[in-house]
Amino acid sequence: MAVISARGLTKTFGEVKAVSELTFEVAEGRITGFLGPNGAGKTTTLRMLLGLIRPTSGTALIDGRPYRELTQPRRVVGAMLDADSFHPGRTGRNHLRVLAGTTGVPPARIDVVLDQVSLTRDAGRRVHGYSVGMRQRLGLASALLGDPAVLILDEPTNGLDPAGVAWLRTLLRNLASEGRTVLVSSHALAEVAATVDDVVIISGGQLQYSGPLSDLSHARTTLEDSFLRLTGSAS
Amino acid sequence: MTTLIANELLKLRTIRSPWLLVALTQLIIVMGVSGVFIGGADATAAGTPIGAVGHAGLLSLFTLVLGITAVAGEYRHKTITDSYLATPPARPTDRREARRLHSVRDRLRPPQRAHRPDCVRRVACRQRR
Repeated sequence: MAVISARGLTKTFGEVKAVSELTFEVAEGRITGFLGPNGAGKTTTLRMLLGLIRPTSGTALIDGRPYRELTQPRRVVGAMLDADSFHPGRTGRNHLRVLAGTTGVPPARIDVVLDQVSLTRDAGRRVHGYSVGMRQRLGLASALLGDPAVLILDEPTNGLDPAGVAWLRTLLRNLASEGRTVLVSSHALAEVAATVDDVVIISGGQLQYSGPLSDLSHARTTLEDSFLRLTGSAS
Repeated sequence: MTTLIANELLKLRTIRSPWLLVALTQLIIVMGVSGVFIGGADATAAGTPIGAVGHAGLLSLFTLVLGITAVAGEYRHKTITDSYLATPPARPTDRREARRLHSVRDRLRPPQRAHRPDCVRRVACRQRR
């Protein structure tokens, strides 16, 4: 069953057509990689799915409803769009306290997510003293706070060291095994190939491929080969 | 709504700048009052108390600064995205609903007498009724 679906999603900014007639579905309980070169329209699409940008035409549905029509949306969808959207003077724990208020979850949930992302020890420190990896972890904790069934993560591996990437892979696998749906955009193709079940590839705002990763990468063709061919980036 | 307001207050309480503004306000009040007396003002004179707290009104500008930093900070630190994700802005359906309610209100409003350009003189109007 499709938990996230985009139908004919189009967004134009003046003369620029950022996303054009994009149609794809993300299946329940699977990790889907959302790939595309820089400027392909990935972030615009994710923002449309989350109701932050109004599509010029088409619909973006989560659980069959637009994000804006979800009651307590953060309990349905956990999102991490920018790994640096914190007030630097606020502690990690207080950042989550602020979010818990609007997410509608009890304060006890804060300790659970801090433990989940291994940030309990540093939760009392102000965010400006956090490393890039710790900020990514806090962003993930923010996304997980509402115990959502759907996770939308924009480039969560950015700035993570190899240990952090391996940790994230395990976390996403665990989340999917709990039946959660994960849509994750990334540039790290090798990492995507090791983590995701399905892929959606876009280029120039248009869909190039949507389906299982196994159909795209096999013995003689890597995901990178397919990606470069589909996005026309091959030299 | 109460939750949102409580949350905004929590946002202010968990960073340092609002506390610094409050402390600075107190400091300026104390300095202003002390300054008048250090300057040798007569405490029993009628105008002295007014002069001592005369600057306090200016401190309301700090409220303005607080409001600007609170809102601008949401955009500067991109935390506004979290606010929008938790409480999505007005939906098109809300606007449609508002238009529908307005049309219901118009229908419920007591009928107003139609303006009839030819019904100028009161006598003529009465005869028509």
